[in-house]
Amino acid sequence: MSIYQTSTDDLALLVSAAIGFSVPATHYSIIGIMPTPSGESPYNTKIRIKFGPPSIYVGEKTLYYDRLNLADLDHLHPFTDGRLKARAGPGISVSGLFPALRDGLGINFTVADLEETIATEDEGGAQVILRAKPTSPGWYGEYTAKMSPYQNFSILFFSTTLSGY
Amino acid sequence: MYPYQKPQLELLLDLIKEANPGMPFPPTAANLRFGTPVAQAVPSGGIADTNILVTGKDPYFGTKVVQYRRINVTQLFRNMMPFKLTIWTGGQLPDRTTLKYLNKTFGTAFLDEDVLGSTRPSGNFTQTIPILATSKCYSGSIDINWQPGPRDVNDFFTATALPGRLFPGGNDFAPGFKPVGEYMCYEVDFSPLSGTFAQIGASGTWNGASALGIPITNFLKANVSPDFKGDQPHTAYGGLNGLSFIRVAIPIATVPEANSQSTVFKNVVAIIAQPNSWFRGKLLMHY
Repeated sequence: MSIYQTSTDDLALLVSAAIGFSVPATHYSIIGIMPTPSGESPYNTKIRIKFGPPSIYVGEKTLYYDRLNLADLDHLHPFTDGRLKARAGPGISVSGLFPALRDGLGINFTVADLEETIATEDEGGAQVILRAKPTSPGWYGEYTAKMSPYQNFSILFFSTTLSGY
Repeated sequence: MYPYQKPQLELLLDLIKEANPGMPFPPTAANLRFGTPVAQAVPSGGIADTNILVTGKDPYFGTKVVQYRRINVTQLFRNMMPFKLTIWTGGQLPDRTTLKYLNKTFGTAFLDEDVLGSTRPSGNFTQTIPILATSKCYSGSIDINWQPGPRDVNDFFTATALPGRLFPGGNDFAPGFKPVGEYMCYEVDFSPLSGTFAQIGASGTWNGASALGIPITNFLKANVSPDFKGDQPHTAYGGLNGLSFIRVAIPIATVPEANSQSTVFKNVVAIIAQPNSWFRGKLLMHY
């Protein structure tokens, strides 16, 4: 279930599970996030969070969890060529495609997750590179999402001469 | 006793080693046993305010009384007391909690048995914690002024690992992994089947070959993959028969992966895979 909400909220759920009560993401700040140094933990990400107002608690904690590899999105489309039905055209920024990616993949990306990239034209429509920010709470790596093209309005017209009433 | 940041017994053994170099077997906690420290008058020209009986164990035998000076915490912390503490507790503050705080903050090596197991009320006044005379390395007393503060989250965490950030069906993509149901038709609009879905019930066992199942199977074949087979059990590739399904309006907590933020979809039928199914996760049909 975890990828269907923002990675910030998902991390808050994981923290809540470990701490034993519900902690919203606004109750702590991430003061460091990095790939886990070799041998420290089987989880791929090391994070240090600091609690403070509006939380009634204080203190810092180092935790380990898994960020997900964007490249693994490539494994998830058994019946298609990987091209999403969601539409995009060249020149659209990745943040402008967040709603389409959410409908197409179910993944709720935010500007905290992805670097700003611009969709480019490809042979079947448009493609956009999803590249994780190093500070993304939920993702690493990159993936090229292939989107369906917008239909060209002009070529759908057989005739521009309309009959009158 | 300048190297404070060691366990108390180690501090005492260090003093014995410093004063008695060349002992055939290095003094350790295993071959020496210590009695109860006794306060003494500081001898003329000396500094030792304490003596303690040391008894040898294998390979040593015999006893010896050694003299030394304990760390006077009243002097050690003289410019810092009373300590203004804002330690959280559910009620009164145990003296032993205060010692743990000092150990953590200053690297001292107080043990629980250095004080009585007293507790203290909060308030803006100075309270004195005496160090027991039986403490091997410390003497004097600690003044504190404590009032409850925010609680440290480290009191709550029982583990540093946060499992559970997963793709649907898990993060295992080794060769031969099962297809993931969530992604087979996540974004396909099943609205043309809304009338059929309305009749299949809110939950039950999937039957792709029934009168209601046939149009659904046909839609899956046409819009998702021709590999779907309406008359096959869920253990065979493409089959769904025998799996349970639920039909719900979204958003719904039991199917959190349903596309609840979409402006297009209002309902979902989820077919839930079993461990021996040909796919994993849930097959989601949004409409």
